[in-house]
Amino acid sequence: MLQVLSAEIQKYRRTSALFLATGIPLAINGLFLLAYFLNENLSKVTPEKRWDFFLGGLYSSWAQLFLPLGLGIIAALALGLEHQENQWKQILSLGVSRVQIYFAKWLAVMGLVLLGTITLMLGSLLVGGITTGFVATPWEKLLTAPLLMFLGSMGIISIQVFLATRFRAFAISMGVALFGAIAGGLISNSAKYWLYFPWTYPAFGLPSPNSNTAIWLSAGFAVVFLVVAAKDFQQRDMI
Amino acid sequence: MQAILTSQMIQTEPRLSHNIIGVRHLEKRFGQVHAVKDINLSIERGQIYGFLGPNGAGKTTTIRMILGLIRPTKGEIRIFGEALSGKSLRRIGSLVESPSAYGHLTGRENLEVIRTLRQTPKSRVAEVLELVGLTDAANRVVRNYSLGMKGRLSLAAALLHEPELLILDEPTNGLDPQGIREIRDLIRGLPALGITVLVSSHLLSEVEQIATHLGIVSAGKMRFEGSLEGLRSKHQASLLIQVSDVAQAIAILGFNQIEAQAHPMGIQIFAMQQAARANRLLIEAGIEVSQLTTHNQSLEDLFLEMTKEA
Repeated sequence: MLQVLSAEIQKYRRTSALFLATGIPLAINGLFLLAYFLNENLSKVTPEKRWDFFLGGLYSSWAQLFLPLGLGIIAALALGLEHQENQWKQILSLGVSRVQIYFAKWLAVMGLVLLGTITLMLGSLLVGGITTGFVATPWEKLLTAPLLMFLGSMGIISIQVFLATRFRAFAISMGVALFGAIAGGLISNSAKYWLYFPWTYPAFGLPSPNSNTAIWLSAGFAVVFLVVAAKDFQQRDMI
Repeated sequence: MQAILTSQMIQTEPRLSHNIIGVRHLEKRFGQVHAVKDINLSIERGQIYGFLGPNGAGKTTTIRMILGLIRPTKGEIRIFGEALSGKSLRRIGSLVESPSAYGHLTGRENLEVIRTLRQTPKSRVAEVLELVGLTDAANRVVRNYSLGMKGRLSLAAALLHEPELLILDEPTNGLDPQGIREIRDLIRGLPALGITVLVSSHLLSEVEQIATHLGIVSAGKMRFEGSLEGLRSKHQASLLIQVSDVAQAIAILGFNQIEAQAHPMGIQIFAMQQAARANRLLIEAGIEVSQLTTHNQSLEDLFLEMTKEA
């Protein structure tokens, strides 16, 4: 398994998936920094309120929009490496276990989303620090919230990896990611139905009474979907 | 004629256990499409086996089944005498359809990915790059390679782990004459390295130059399997006779144990030693014979005849 993972990692040199994994969170942080400089009122409130304004906006937009869309793009790009230039046929005729290949791909997308999460974390520390002079820094929130959203996204990572593996067309992955993000935003208003829709889990994963439920549901969903999708991949004709 | 050729030429049951590749009664359906109907292959160590047939005959589907990319609907595949498995696939190198490589990586990085998956020594990368003549271009991004260079890189990837069997699906597709010659020369040298080769093509002229054995497939069925010499020996000379009444001529000759069949020119008989007797019998029966011609069937004629849709 380790050599399959090692080979998988080697493929991401100079890829747009790697670029976007770090570029999207940096760009969003940059937008919030710009918003700070454009809004004169923000410089007049206390550093605590500045942090609240900044992190509140950053995390809600990340959980409900940029994370589900971004991971959909990253999964499609990661699997696109195999769809183009006849790569599946070469890789799958090497005699390496298909389950291991699928699992390595899933881990690679997980790794890229985690890289984006860490970039978001460091970027928000930097942007928040610039706007507050590192006064009243909410260290715990800065460190835990991005990771909780990441854990809440594991279920949709499994879905997007499956879709991007199954369908060559970028539009299918992106269509589902966009629908999931929009529908997730609407369904998260329902105290009853959010449980059934994995796109709501990143937002509900943020510190709240529902946080643990959202993360366990996300993890459970991720594992079940991973097993089912790997089984499908193992048995599928590679035409 | 085709029925005669088919029944004469196709081997009976292949001896699966002694072959590098043994395929028996292979079938594949995609919904209503019956892509492969009945394929039998027997490939022995050291052969360069040309798998020949027109486009859409079922060659690529068969190769995909041999490589475990798709599952057969029916039939048996044995590789190195064993059922197809990951273990047997690890002894095979392959190039399926078009050349494949990650365009954003260099040639060397591409081979490193395969080397890591194959767990072969690092030194092999330089060796195969040298073998296919890509050492100078090894650090260039593959996106900028020509089609011929991509083909050679794919071949290098297939040879990386020193396979016992190399399966090449139409390896010269899209190559210029120089590229075709290079690939051909490379394939010719492989049996000396202990590598058995299965190479598919739709061009008889191409396979004829490198193969020691041939399998001819058409419409998903085997039409011939044997050595190239075996195929050449089937160059049948025949006699074409222009007659006034074809049906009656065939009947009279048949009654006298001379097999004949209709031909656009008149009738055709294969028993050349019976030419004079056939002529005499026809004239005695009152049939006008206006022309007798000897017809030599070329290898290409034979191939085209075999691969005509059944």
